[in-house]
Amino acid sequence: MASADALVYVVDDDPAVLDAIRLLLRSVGLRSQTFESAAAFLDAFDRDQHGCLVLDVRMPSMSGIDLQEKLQEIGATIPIVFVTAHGDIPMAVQAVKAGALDFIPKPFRDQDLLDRVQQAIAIDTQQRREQEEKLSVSARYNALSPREREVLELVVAGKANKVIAADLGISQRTVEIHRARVMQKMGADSLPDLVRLTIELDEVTDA
Amino acid sequence: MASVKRSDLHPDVIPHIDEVIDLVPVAVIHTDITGRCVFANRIWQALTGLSLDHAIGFGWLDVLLPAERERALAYHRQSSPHAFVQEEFHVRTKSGTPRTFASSIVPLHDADGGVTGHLCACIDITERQTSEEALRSLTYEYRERLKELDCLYEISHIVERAGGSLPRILRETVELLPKSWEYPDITYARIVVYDWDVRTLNYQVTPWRQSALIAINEHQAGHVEVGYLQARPNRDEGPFLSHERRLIDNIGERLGHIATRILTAERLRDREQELRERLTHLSRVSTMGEMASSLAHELNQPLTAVATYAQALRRFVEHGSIDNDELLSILDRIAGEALRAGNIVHRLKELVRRRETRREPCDLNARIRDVQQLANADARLHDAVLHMELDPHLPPTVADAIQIQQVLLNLIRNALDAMRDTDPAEREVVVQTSRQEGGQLQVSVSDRGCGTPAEHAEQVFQPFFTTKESGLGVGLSISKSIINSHGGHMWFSANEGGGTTFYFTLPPVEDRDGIG
Repeated sequence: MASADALVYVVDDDPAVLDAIRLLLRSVGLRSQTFESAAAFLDAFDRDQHGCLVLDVRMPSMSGIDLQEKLQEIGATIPIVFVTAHGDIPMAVQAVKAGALDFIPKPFRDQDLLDRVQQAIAIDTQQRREQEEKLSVSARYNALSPREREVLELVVAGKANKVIAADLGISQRTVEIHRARVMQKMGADSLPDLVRLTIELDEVTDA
Repeated sequence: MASVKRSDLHPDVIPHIDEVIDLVPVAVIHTDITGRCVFANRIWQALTGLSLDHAIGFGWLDVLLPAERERALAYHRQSSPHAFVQEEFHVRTKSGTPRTFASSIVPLHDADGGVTGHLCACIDITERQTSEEALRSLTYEYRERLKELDCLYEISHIVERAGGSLPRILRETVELLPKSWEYPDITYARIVVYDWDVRTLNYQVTPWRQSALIAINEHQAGHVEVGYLQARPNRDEGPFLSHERRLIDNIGERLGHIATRILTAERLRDREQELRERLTHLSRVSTMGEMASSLAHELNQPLTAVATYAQALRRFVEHGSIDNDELLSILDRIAGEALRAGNIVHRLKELVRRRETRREPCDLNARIRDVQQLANADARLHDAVLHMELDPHLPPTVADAIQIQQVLLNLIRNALDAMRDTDPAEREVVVQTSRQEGGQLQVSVSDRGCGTPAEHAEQVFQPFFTTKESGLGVGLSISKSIINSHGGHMWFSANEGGGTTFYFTLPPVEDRDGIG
């Protein structure tokens, strides 16, 4: 499931734990990069990098929770798997509510961590694909002429060709031609498909 | 008194001499040359209780003790006109009371110098004699009493000097005793109290000795013994004077009081010491209890590393995808982490174990590094960082390592607690060691917390003062008393940029002589 180019970032203030996790990931052929502090990670973090983040909840200066918040602020969507000591469960729960994939109490079974990591990478893959799609939708939208965009708005609003023609003061035939162009340019198979793409479009422009 | 010559007397008087002597205000008796009494004046009669009729002739001799009659008669028969005698005579009056007369016997002679008789004037000196004797015996008494008082005084002096050391008091007292007895050169002494048994060098068992009991808390605990090496005349108790009996009883009683007082004080001190140690221990245990979750976390780290290393290694070995060198290196890392966990448990056990105070040469920096691991756990829990700035040239001190660690842990934990409301990015505790001018070793623990309000400045070292929700509130007071008992000081001051720094000092090894 994991793509070959996936990278697992690991942040834990304990060098031994960090080293052990790095080794475990390597044993299943996962690439990793390790950091002893949240700040060091932020310096090196590449938001275009496909992968996930394995993060210790409790660290001095900037805790895992703080880092999660920071990533959200900058709009990074990298999936986070928290590892946590026994006493930190409430914090971990808070982290999950804030969007983390899951938390694993230390010490953990190797398979538990690996499963979560794989899952996180899969989610990242999915998210990136969706992202790409969104980006391509807006690119396609940008390729529309002003008139075609007007037609698109009215089509998605559910108006009939005849009404659109009247609204825009053009012939029904011309509306039909524009509509076919819009469907083609946006790569939509049907009206519902076109509506879905438009919603995605709104999300991209909102973001 | 000169002899009285008949010629000296007025011729009219001589025939009337007996009328004259009757008027003399002392007792006078007139005898003829054979010693017969011819007259005794009224005072004589009154003093002896004998009538004139009885006295006349040789009857006057009845007032003398038989052994003295011959002597008296001899004086009264002397024919030398110049003999003048002053003598004391023991007299028994008619009523039987023994008295002493000081008598002057003067011959009477005629114009030719022929002795015609004697006049004997007597003064009753019984009272005077008794009072002289009394004075003599009083002086003696006084001298002996002085010896006794001197002895007791010196004992109190010894007690004062010995600073509460009972063995020393006994040793010095036993040396003091012989000179207070009548024959110091042949006197030996011994004092026994419980297991203490002190003797003068010349001590040996002889028949001439006396002893007194020493009681502690009203139970016999020993005795004091004084004796002579040689026989001496019998006095009040064997060869010993009555005041010597009194003195030895007094010393026995005195030593009993002193020993009771010292041993009671020692017991109280021991008890107090024990209580203080128990409280110190209790506070340590309570600290460990409060630190339980951070300690669990601290233990969890190496355990996680061990488990993860082992699981990764298993996968590598399973796939045969690891070379020998890396395998060995990972095994070493596993062992290292297991030892790290063991080390935490060991430190924890050290701090929780109940033990007696031990003073040993101690490297302060090393003790600080010992607590660093535990303190780090707590720091992590507080999202704070711990910085050590240790002077590498710090001289050693003599201290109870565990108690010093307890103090450090306390100060660090207080510092962490003070930073609850500090921005996590700024939460930092700095532990610094340095050598001060004058050689004192100084440790400071500095936080960037809320500071110590002025109104708490007086109280922070008081027991049961706390601003925290948990904890006994004895940490700082115990810390301060630990440092004081090591001959150091503890204080705190506000930091310029906010927060508080606590300081304590310890003396370097060479200064430690004489500190309890």
